[in-house]
Amino acid sequence: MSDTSIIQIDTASSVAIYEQIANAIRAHLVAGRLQPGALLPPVRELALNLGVHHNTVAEAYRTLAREGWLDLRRKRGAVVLAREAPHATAAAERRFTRHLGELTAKALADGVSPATAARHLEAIAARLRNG
Amino acid sequence: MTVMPALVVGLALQLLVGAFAFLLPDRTRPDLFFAVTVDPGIRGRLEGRTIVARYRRETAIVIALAVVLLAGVVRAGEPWGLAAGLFVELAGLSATYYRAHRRTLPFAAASTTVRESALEPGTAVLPAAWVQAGPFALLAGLAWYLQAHWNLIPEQFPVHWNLAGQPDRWASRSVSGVYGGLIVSGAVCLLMLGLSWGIARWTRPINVSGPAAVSERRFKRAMLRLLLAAEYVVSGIFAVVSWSSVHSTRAIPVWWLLTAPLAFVATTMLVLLRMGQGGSRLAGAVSGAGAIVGDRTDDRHWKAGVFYVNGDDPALFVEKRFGGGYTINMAHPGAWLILGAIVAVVVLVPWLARAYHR
Repeated sequence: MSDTSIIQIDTASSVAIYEQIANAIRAHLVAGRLQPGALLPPVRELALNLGVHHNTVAEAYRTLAREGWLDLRRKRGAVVLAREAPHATAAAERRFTRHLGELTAKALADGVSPATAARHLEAIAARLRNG
Repeated sequence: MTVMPALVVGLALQLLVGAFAFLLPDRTRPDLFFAVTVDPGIRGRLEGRTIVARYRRETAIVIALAVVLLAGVVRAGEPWGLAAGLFVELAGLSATYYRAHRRTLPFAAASTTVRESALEPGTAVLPAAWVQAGPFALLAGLAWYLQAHWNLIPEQFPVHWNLAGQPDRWASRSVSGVYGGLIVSGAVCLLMLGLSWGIARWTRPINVSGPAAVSERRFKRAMLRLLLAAEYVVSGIFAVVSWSSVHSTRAIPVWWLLTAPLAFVATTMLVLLRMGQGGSRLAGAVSGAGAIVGDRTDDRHWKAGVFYVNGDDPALFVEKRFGGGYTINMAHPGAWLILGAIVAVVVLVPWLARAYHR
């Protein structure tokens, strides 16, 4: 089992669990670590492994299916789809900027130094530029 | 059963149980100390060493008292001496464990709140279906054989032998007398098969990557193989006993009937001592990078550190915090099914006993 296909959630986080699961899987999808055709674990199996209710995982899968990442089929489970990146709207860009600002403010409020936050943001920017 | 063999068997059992209890503090995950989540460093500190020393002192006293009680009662010729000695020992050991658990509580550390999972469907850990079917095929084959040779079965035939190999209990040629043993052993095997299936399907890995995950998978496979081996031992013993009802004039291999369960118990102890909980005794299991604190269950869901009760957890089985193997999540709906099955098997045994007579 490769370490790259692992997701983590934090039960102490204020972010809803289903959102954490969807975010973690989306990160793997965007990075290309989950290729089209890949099969995700059945809802009950992932719920068992994470110690959460199966409806929570089902909601995360539905969120990703609505975004076009997954095909949810009865019996077969969740299958990763080949997804064309949609054209970003101005609203999507504004939402991204706002979230990034809020996230950075929260990190600084939690005691992360501006230099450290900047270093992490630059690392992400470098990864994005390099594809 | 004469006094000496009963005493020897009783003492062997008591010492085995006592030795296991004595070693238990070392047979848990390093960050679980008397079922409390702790900083692993506590084991080496004075507080930790003091708690273990007191636990072992009290354990030794309990074992000594139980041995004296057993010897006294058995020598007095009381048939319940063996059970009484074992009961007193188990009750005493539970009390010493609970006292150590209470002493450890002030050193409790926060469990990790991070949970993780692989994004790949899990791999099968159960043995192949034909291997699992073996005990049931054996019992079914014996049932067919007995049916085919019904007229050869004597009116009364032995079903129990003392340590000297002499029969001391008989059954009549009736459905319950002939098939009772097979039915009970079939029910026991079915129960163990259900437990294996539950452990394979409804437990979650505590670590999903690195050496700790590898050790956990090996430990789980070992537990499942032990359960399967127990099925073979139980069905094998009852098969031999049932077979002897048709061939009652032939000598029963008492040594085999005794050796098989004793060898199984010894193997189980060795596996548990070598692998420990979640494979935590295997080299590199917990010290790898990204090692977590605790077993991803919260202390507040453990009653007395023994009973796991968490209605929000979909896991039916979790690793025991003190002891070997797995325990049931008592708040899971499936727990009632398992407890019901255990009660059903326990009810079957007196039904079988009524079919036998001295």
